[in-house]
Amino acid sequence: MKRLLAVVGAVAMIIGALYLRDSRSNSGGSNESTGSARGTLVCATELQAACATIGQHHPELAIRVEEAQTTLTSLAKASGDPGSVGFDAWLVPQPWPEMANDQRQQSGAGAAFDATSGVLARSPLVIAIWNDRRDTLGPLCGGTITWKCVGETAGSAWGPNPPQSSWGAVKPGHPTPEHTAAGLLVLGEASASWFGDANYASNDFANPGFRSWFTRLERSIPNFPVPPRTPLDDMLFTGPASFDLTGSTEAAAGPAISASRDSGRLTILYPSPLTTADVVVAPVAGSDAGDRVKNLIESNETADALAGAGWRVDGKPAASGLPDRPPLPPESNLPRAGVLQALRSLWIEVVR
Amino acid sequence: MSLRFTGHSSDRRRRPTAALAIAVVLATMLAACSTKPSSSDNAADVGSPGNCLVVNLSMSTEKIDLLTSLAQAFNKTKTQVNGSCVFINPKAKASGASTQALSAGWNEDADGPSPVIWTPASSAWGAVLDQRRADQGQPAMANQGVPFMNTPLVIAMPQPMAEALGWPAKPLGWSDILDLAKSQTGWAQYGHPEWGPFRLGKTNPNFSTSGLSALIAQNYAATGKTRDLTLEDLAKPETNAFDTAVESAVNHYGDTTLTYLNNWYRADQEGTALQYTSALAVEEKSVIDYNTGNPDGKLDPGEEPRPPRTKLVAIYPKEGTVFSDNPLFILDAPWVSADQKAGAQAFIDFVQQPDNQERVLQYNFRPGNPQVAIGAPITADNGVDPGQPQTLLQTPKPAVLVDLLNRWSQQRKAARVLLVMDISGSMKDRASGDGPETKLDLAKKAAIDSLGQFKPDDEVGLRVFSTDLGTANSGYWLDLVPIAPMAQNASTLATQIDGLSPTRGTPLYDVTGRSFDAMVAGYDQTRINAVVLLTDGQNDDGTPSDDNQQLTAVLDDLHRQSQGENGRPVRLFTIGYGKDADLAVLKQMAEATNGAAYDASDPKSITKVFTAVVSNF
Repeated sequence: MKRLLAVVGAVAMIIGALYLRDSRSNSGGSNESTGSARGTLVCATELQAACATIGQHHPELAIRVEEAQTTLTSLAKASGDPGSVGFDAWLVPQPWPEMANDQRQQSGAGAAFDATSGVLARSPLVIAIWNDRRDTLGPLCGGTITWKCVGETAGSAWGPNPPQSSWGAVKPGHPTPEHTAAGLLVLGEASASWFGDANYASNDFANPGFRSWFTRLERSIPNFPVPPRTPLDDMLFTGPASFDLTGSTEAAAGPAISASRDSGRLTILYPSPLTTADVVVAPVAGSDAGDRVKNLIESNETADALAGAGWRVDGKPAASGLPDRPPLPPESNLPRAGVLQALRSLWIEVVR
Repeated sequence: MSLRFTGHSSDRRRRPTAALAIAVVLATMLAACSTKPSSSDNAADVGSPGNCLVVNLSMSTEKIDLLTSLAQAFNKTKTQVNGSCVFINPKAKASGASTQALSAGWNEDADGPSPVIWTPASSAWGAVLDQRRADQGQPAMANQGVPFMNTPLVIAMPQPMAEALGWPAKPLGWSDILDLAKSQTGWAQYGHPEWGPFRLGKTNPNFSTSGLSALIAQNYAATGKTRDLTLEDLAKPETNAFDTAVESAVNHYGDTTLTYLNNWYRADQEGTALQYTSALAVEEKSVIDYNTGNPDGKLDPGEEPRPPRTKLVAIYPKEGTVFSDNPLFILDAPWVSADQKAGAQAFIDFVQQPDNQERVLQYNFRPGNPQVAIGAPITADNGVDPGQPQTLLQTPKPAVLVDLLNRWSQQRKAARVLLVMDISGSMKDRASGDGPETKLDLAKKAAIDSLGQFKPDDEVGLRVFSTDLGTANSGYWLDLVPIAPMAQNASTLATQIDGLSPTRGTPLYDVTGRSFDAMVAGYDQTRINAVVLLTDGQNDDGTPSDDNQQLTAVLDDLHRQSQGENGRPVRLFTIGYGKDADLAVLKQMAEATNGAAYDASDPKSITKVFTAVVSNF
């Protein structure tokens, strides 16, 4: 009898253990979520460091990091309800939410975003340049290095005499505008430098002078590293052989350069007109968790995370290695969303 | 310095019955770790994986010590992935060879454990692999790697030669190399007739990263470009003429720069470094290795690094150069699990930590983590310049890379080669316990397979040797196929090799000396002149009493005819086949001619070894 009871007890324990394991596996697993109570946040790659910190503070939040163009493409392809795209909110520089809405509307779909938050953080678009190149290019540019001047000298030999003779051609760089937010924003800034301000339109691209300058600039760029790698990564990896200068957000360039072995050889320039990347969070229209995720991202913790990752946030101290000047302009000084889209198309046409 | 060991074997014996159950249990455990016993050479000792998740790592050969050390350190951390510790299992395989293996379908018996992480010397290999797969309608396998250290391609020259060209004040590049290569007067035009003609060292770009990088740089120089090299550029007659002229100055090729560097160092010790090679396309790292007295970057037990008499200096080509960026690829391959990918990523993160990047410097590479300063040994004292290079060449598109390699196979310097094969009685021994083939069977197959690596205008002949062959001119050898262009000889060679059968003794010294002398007599300065000697034994001509005297005489003869600015450089490449081959003597003889000795003591490695030998042409 005792044996029988023991066997029954053992069987009961096994069944109990199996039940417990089963119930745990049903409630556990991946922290990926698609519109569930916890919510999913998609971050543009430029915000990867900040989003890693956000993820540590909010383990209940599923976070996916991808290039802005990847998200935009999936939103444009998603027919019907934007809530079916598999995430609840998007943390990205402006004007990507507007660009997504534009693309969806062109295909007859409803807007993906009804509204965005206010600007959560900003970062000026800068030029990181080797000091010896700065000292040579500055006088060629009449004392001030601008993107307009960079484009005019790009691809030409640095000079016939040492040490410039060993530098080869003027090699500018910026992240690829085909995939990255930073790349397209820098391209918008550079074009504003040629036009004089950001009030240009896509029909201005037919201007032969602009077209020639744009083509020279972009075709003189030695290569566009595959994201998430950037030209700045290459500069820090191999020195001045890869690029002489590159466009970047200050958030990406400042901390990386100040922590690098080349901090004394590289300078960050703030070209005029000063342009900024402005970060917003956009809840997906129709998502149950969208507003909840947005509220989380608008918290003080997220502001700290963004500031810690090199973004400028009102009321927060600058991250290590970053100055708190120059003061930022009241607006981003970027062209409109549709113009940026057209600029991307032009870039693909010229570079490919 | 080390002998070119390209094959090792351990004599595994099978114990039936009693051990079978244990073996099944062990096999089950090992299967869970996703690994198999290695048949690869260049295995690194990182201990046993135990119950950990095994992440196989295939690395280019020059990083074996560094990555073995990093793998050992990582394995000690017991990093966990989904509850299982991760065990990095590194194995070395040359970049070109691993690219070919991955492209053709990785064969664990021949290539070693299927890699999860692949780290060739340069990202260009990843591009070549994915292009070849795309050509076969297959998806990319390498995609984008994470570079973790780098070293630029440079032109290494003995300092007096570089100074004669105007270094360091005058920027030098590939165009200067071309001028010298085309010169009829060689170094005499720079006031040094005693240095003889200009001799260029390059490696085979199908196998060697330095060779591939040099080929890229050379073609950019030919077109005057630094980016956007196109298929049309390569098709231009002037590009072809430039390439052909540069190749004409080449000594010989080979699968690795280490052969050159060892030979150069040995020549330096004899005071003849300037006559052996004038310039060699190598990674900056190798210049430091050489100048610190460790030309192949690997100290054998008891070996003491001794700086050379004449230092090399690194010339950073004025046209620009390329970096070996040592990417870590996590392969998108069917044998790679999600957990293995996570384990691989953990190792990649580990490698990039500043403390571990400091180790990179100890091996003469530049750290990839920009937070780690580039300091000693990357210094002028070691012949290199941490401030260089200042401009870079763009890595060509994958299709262009593949076309470069295809064109090189026709542009490379033609060869004149005598294959000398041992058909002594011991060649009829079984190659291994696994199958019925004899050593001669495997050697015949490998030799026939290697014939495809020659181009139609290479001149190749076949001599076999053994005692009592009963020919009119000698009892020791038989010229089965006289030297002639492969266009007419290829099928005859294959037929004759296929028909070989074992006979009697091994008159090694006599036949080596006479074969070498025959090639010197027919020396063709427009070609790479070489003897490829395969033997499985020791000298055995029936008269052992004069063996030492014979060896001394042969070595003197080889050495004498290979030295001096007016020498007729015929290279001897030896293959020690099977466990009874006299590797030490074969090494002595090869080195006397600035050739190389290859170790095929594991008969199964003979195909791989033949491929490596023929890469010299």
